[in-house]
Amino acid sequence: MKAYTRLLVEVFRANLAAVFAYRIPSLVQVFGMVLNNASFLVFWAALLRHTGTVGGWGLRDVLYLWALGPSAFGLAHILFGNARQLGTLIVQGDLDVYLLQPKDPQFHALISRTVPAAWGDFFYGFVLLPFITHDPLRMGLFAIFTVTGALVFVGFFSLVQSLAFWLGNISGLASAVTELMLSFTLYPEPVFPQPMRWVFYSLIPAGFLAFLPIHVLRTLDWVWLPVTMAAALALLVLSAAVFRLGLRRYESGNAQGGRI
Amino acid sequence: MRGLPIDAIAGHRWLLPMRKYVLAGSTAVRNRWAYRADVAGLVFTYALFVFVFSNLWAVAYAGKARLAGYDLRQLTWYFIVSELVLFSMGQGTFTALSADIKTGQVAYTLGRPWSFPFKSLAENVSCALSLMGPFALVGWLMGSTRLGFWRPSSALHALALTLSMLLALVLLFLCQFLLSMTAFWWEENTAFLWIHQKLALVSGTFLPLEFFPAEWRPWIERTPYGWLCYPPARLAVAFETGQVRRLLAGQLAWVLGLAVLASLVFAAGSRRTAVQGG
Repeated sequence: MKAYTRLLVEVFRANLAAVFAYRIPSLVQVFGMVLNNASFLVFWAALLRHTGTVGGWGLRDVLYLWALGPSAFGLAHILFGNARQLGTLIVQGDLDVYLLQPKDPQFHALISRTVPAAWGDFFYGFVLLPFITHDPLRMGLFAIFTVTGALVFVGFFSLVQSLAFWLGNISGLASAVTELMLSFTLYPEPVFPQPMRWVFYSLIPAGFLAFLPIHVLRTLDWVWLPVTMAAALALLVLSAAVFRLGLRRYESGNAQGGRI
Repeated sequence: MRGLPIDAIAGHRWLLPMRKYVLAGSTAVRNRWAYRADVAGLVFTYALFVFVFSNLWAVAYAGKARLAGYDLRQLTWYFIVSELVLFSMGQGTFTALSADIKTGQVAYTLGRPWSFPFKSLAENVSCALSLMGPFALVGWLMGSTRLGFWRPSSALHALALTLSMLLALVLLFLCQFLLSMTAFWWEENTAFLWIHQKLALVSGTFLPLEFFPAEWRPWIERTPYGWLCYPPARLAVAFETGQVRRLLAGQLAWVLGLAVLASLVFAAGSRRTAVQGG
């Protein structure tokens, strides 16, 4: 565990140095993403101005949704920037470099990249937070749910991308599934018909990173905190198992490359 | 090669200068449709958006007959039409042109006997028009299933809607063309696209302009964003002959203004291109 933490810190440091080598472009991306997310608040404010609430969700609840989703998504892509590129690495035979190293190849591949714009997503939620609540308890819970949400994103994306071991090029499927995950994460749960809500706790686990955490943040109903943590952990374990199973089918691209 | 749009202008000599642009457009359409899985993915995403927002509107209208002058049926069709325009154009113009500028590929195309902006317009608007078919079919089926059959109320309605959609596509193209030109000066310009996309979504795509405070509307209309998706979607769901001229004239004015600006910016940018042999 200690060795993996050290690897994560060292790779993160190297990724950060690479990002800061292009300081202005990276900062433009970060601020662009903050503005990008903020624009949706204009939409919600305009709508709620006429309706008051949507399915019992007021502006504060929607703000929680739009703070937590981007922050978790951002953290996932800051630390595990290859989460949505894993399929490409598999199909192109680019896993060789990770297979030759002593650490777990899935973990190593996932952390080997960072996405500069993801910093904008990550900061956005925390910038928004003081406008939603001043309660230190809820702020702490928000930070915890950002971490569990990031793990759900990483576990889910990595699981879907690992299907490339069997299906080959899955860019179409992966992008459709990503859209589904983001769409279900960023809109209030009552918007979706009751009969389909089981999907959020199984096939597209948006419920564990958005709806359950927001229920806890609204009501401080603590029962769901360990459930959310357990779901994030279970998803990571499942994604690791699927990756390991798929690795048996992996064929090297025979490409020569280097990593610094 | 019979049957291509190029054959249609063969007998009209005055149209011959357009020949190369028609050819560029039809080639771009064939290239676009070569990746059918990609098109299917886009149609799926469009359908997902229509599904999510149809549900959102249904929940928002609970116990209310009208919001900002629109009933549930109008607002749902408004969204279907406005997203149809935005999805058809996509972000291909910006992505391809920015990449061409950053890689220097643009220098290669500058020497060709065509106007680069016109060629880009022909390629991108042709692709958008070809993609509009499947998007429109899916949107129409989803809307009709949920809310009942929809069709234009008259030939004038259909004509105004078609013109407005076409002008919206050209306007979207010009916005993306101008944004992509920033690559002549900035190495990383993707953030400009994100901001543009979200401004387009917020200013008249997700919601009609009537939903915003009255004092905001003149400000939105002083930008191209109020003239992208709002006019065709508004004309589709609340057709008033008195409004047609105002909406179409507003779109046309922005198209002309941005076209002039685009040619000036392109000329300034292309002066920064250094072509070296090899």
